[in-house]
Amino acid sequence: MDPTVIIRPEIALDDFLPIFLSSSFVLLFGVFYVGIYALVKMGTIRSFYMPAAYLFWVAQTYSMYLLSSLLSNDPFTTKVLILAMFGYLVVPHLYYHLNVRSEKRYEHSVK
Amino acid sequence: MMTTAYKSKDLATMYFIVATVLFGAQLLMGLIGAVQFLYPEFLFEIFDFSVARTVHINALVVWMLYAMIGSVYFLLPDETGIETVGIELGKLGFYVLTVAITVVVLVYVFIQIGPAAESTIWLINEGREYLEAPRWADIGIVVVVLIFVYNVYATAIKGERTGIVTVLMADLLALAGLYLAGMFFVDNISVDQFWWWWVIHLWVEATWEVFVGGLAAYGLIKMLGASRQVVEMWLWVEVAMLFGSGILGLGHHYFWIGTPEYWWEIGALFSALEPLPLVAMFVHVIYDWGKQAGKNGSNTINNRPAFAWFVMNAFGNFLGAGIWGFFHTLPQVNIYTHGTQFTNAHGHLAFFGAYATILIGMFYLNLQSKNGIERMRSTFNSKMAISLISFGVMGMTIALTVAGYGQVLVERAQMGATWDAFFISQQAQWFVQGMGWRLAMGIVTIVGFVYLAIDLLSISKVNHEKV
Amino acid sequence: MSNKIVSVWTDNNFWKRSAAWITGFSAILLIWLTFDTLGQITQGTDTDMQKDAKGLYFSKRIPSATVINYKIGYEYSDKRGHEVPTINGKEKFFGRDDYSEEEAAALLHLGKLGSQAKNCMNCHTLLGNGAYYAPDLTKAWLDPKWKLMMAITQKKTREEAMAEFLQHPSKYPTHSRRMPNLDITAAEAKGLVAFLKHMSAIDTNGFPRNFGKKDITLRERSAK
Repeated sequence: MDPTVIIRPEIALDDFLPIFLSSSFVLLFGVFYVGIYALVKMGTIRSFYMPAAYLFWVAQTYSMYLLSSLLSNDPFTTKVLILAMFGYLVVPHLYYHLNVRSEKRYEHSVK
Repeated sequence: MMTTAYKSKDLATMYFIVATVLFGAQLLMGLIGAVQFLYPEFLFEIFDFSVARTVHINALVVWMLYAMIGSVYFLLPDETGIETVGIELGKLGFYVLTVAITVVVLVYVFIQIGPAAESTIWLINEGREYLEAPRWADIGIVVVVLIFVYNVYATAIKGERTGIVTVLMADLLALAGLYLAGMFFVDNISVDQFWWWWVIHLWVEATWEVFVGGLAAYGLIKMLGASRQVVEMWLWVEVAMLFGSGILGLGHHYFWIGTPEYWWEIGALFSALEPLPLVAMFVHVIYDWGKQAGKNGSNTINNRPAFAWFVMNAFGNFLGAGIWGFFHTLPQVNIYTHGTQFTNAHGHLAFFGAYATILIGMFYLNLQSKNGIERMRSTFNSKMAISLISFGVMGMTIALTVAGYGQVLVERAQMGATWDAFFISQQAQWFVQGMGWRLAMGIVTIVGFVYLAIDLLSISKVNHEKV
Repeated sequence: MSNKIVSVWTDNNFWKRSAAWITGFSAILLIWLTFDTLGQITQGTDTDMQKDAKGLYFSKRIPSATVINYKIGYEYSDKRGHEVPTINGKEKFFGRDDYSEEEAAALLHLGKLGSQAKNCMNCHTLLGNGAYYAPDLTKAWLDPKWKLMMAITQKKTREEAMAEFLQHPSKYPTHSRRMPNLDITAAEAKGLVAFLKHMSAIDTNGFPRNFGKKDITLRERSAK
């Protein structure tokens, strides 16, 4: 029997580039999201830009979804990954909250 | 700024000087290897690729260790408030280590290989990537590192023990202890690589990263005047995230070396988490910078070149270790990319972004303190150095990624990873052009290094505000 | 300094303790997994091998060194979803197929030492780890190229062709990038070939994929 006719879960040649790009974009868009969010909160740029931050989160989540489907993950894995993206939506809020609270608490006690 | 009197800082200077020289040697060896990719007859059977690469990666690891030891001797008096205990012992350790490393390099260069016997592993070359140092040198390194760890502990116990020092104490002990996992010979190559990764991974993706977290915390306090409590609280958050993701992230090296399949899930999950602390570090640096700048205006930063390198670290760590790591870490993709130029691209940007940057920043902090400069400004040379080196390394990384993409498609996806498949991929247009650009960008990096070396020698003579 | 507790989330000690707990927990988990993995990657014995030879698959992820007495393959397994090493009856290795456990282990020992003493890993990759200047050696024993190399080196068997190539690599260039002469003796070459043959029988979870099968993805897709 010719072993080459076996169908297996392989990555198609044309899918390699989209896979590499989408996985990079997951993180790259993530940084834009976090970066713009932090800059707006700190008042460095106007709050007018805040929707852009969330748009980057959407783009990031879409990239993750794309990556997951290109890797032919089962639906459960895809769900877990998308859930993780909601975690990523919340995390910068937590980071920022922590920054503000710790500053309030400690800033006056030094010097 | 009355810190110049500490002997600990003089010892730091000695370590930093050797580190800089070894950094130069690393780049030179990289140049030879890069040329050989394009012109394989270059130095063939005289100074082969394997020799150049051995020295290239060993010089890398050793210069970073030197700079790390130097950084600790540098910051210890500031943190503990006292002179480092055991300075003379530390100096002895420095000379022993430097002589040992000189001998090891000379043996790599002139003897290169030996017969298939234990004696080769003890005296010439252990032949395991990154841990090539022969066994006698391993033992010497352990002794010297023990002296160093003893000094740090003795000083911290006697003086004030800050959060940063506490983190470094725990981290250095782990870092030193892990080296022991790479010091034995086994016939079973899977067991060999299993423990080999304990050293390599738990160094560069766990303990070294935490070390960098400690340095960044110190730098933020020193250069920006950030509040110690806030910085140290963040340091603990980062330690929790770095170790929480990094320790089990080890799993992504256990996909294909004979180890069981459950490492696929463990490796994928924890290495997907690995970028999170890098994002946190990045946000934290930007936040502190913005906050202090809002308070003090443009005079916030008292050491511009060092700060520039620290910021480069926040970016580079995220880009090199985060993005370039993540995009080939999932097992579905990694089965095609494992052991290709992708790994190479990631290695270049991650070592540079995560470690070289911040350690160069420490060189500048040392120069500032040594010469009693209150505000150190960037010179033309400092700006050329950071731009050219960063541009060069980034360029090499992109070129290698392009080459890697070509290699993965041709060698792995289409042709099944054989001898012929490998060489056909090496002749592909994308690959050869990628390698050409890598060489060009490598030369840019070396020019940047020349600027850096000149700057390190001359910056303190330029007109700065003295104390 | 105020001693009033504001919030646990901004408390240094809270994060310090969390860091310690998380690190400790991860380390313990890693150590536990290490014990399990080390159990699974311990080398099998010749007795295991003789049992395995009645079927197709290896029962140990890392077989005994006596695997050099057998013919090794690399086939797709439906159960595992990727390729795995297979055992296909006896095969002579340098004219013999009755190496004892001690003899085979001694050859493997010599070969592993040789692989380190000659610094293979700083040009080649082994199990995918090393340098990227020369082909991956994980399944080098199974490489179809040795058929051609047998003709070029004028040797009758694969192992003899490999040993000859290893002793005089720069005499048989296959590409402008040649392997340099590493002063490998005949005995060392035999050990190295045994080491490579043994490595090709290690269960690497299907790495490298499609070894030696060209254009499989293309054909498959046009078939769909």
